[in-house]
Amino acid sequence: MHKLNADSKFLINRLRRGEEAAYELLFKEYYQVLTVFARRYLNDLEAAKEVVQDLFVSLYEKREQLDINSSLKSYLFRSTHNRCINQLNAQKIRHKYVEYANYNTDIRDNSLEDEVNRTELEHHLYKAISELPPKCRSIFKMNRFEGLSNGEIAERMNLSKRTVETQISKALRILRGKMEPYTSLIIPGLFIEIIRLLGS
Amino acid sequence: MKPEDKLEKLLLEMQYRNTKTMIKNIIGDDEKSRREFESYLDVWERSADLKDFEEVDADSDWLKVRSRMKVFKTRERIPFRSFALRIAALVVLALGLTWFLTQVLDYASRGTTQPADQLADIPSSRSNYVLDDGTMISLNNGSTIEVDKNFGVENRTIHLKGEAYFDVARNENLPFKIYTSNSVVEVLGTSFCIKESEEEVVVGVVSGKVALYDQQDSSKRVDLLANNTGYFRNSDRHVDSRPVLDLNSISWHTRTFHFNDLTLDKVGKVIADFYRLELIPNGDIHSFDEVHISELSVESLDDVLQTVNQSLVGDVRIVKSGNYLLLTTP
Repeated sequence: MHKLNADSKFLINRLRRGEEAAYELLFKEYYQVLTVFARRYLNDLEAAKEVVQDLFVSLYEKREQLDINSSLKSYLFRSTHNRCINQLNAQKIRHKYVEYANYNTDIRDNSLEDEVNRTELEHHLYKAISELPPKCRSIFKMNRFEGLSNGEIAERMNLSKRTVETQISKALRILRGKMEPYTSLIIPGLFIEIIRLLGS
Repeated sequence: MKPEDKLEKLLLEMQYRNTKTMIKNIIGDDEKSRREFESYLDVWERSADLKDFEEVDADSDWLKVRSRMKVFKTRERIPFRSFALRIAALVVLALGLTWFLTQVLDYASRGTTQPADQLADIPSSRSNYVLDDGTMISLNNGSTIEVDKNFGVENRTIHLKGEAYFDVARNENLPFKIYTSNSVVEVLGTSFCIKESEEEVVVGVVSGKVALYDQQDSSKRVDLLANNTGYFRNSDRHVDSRPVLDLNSISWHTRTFHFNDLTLDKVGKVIADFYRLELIPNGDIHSFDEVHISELSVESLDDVLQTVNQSLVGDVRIVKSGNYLLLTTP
């Protein structure tokens, strides 16, 4: 199956022509990941949504001057990044960013490319979780998103703890398989930490 | 115990006891196991930090962005045709009122267990794809497509189950072919939708030219132009066409309802079909009432009903009750 190719010259031509379907398609593919990316800078989800929505409206309004030198994907991430930084400067809330950046070492230390890769990887993982079988997905999300223990999930869903553990194992197995093509993007630091633990 | 089972056990155990000894005991010194553990742990760690994605709804936010792009006109009103028609509608309304109230009360008394909010949402979203040849496809919920090998080089063939909207990039050397269970749709470059059900395949052409034919006998064929609809009946493999296109059949794609010249019961049927509800028949009342909207953007059911009801001149209103849409009077 051919997924959205954001760098397709056909797609870019359709964007230049102002075709609604092309904008909708691009928006549906990138809005979620760009918003999460922007949130990392702004530390505010609603502000992040606004930045990305403004970006797409601007893309449409300036479609005739659309000049993509590298790739459309890079353009979208770069523009989102720039808009976030501009907003932080304009609103004189840079201290908020610095505060967040101090907390979030990845934002502080990583390059823009690293940050894009990281957000994209997480987006792939999120989509893979969304495609898990319903029961398996619910249990996995309760554990990972809501921080519930297996015992608490078992109680909430009226299941045995063993069933919950089996479902989480199943989820992990499926997710690991689906994430295999992206394993080259694993953070080196994590690997080093594991080696350190195992070696001691 | 298999190595991968050990790794899963370890991750689960880590929730309770994160000790170096445990890691070493379970994994040992095997390099492969270490690498596997690393990939499991990566998934495990990252998945705890994905809640932000959960809170971003591209479908509903697209409607906001779309309205700012001013791509489509919405809520265009057309004038009511005549005062005489209005009077006639009121007379018929009065005559049908007694019968209709009985119907409404009967349905209402059946009781509905579904919470109202559960039915007020826009049906789930589509998946969008751009193929290598520039063709854009929107797949409706629950539908699937598969692309043949060498797509775009030796062929432009795909296989569809369900419902999809196609905007096919023009290429006269390689016709675009869509195979359903029994039929084939062949095009050069155009926009159209296909809906496959157990009974039939329905093809609605928005622009360009499309051929619909039997997989086993290509002489059983109809050529469809813009604003035509083709039908392939699976039971007897009959192919037919009509010179009309129901734009509401692609509302799931265009996110727009087209109510021009539709009577209230037809509008009710369109809304009921879209939101997967059942419209309760209402006798003759519908024949004389008009909806003063030609186009309306797809929004939540409550918003759509509110807009439609505000446009009505007579006393009849469309209301939701559980799984039903009712045509009723105050």
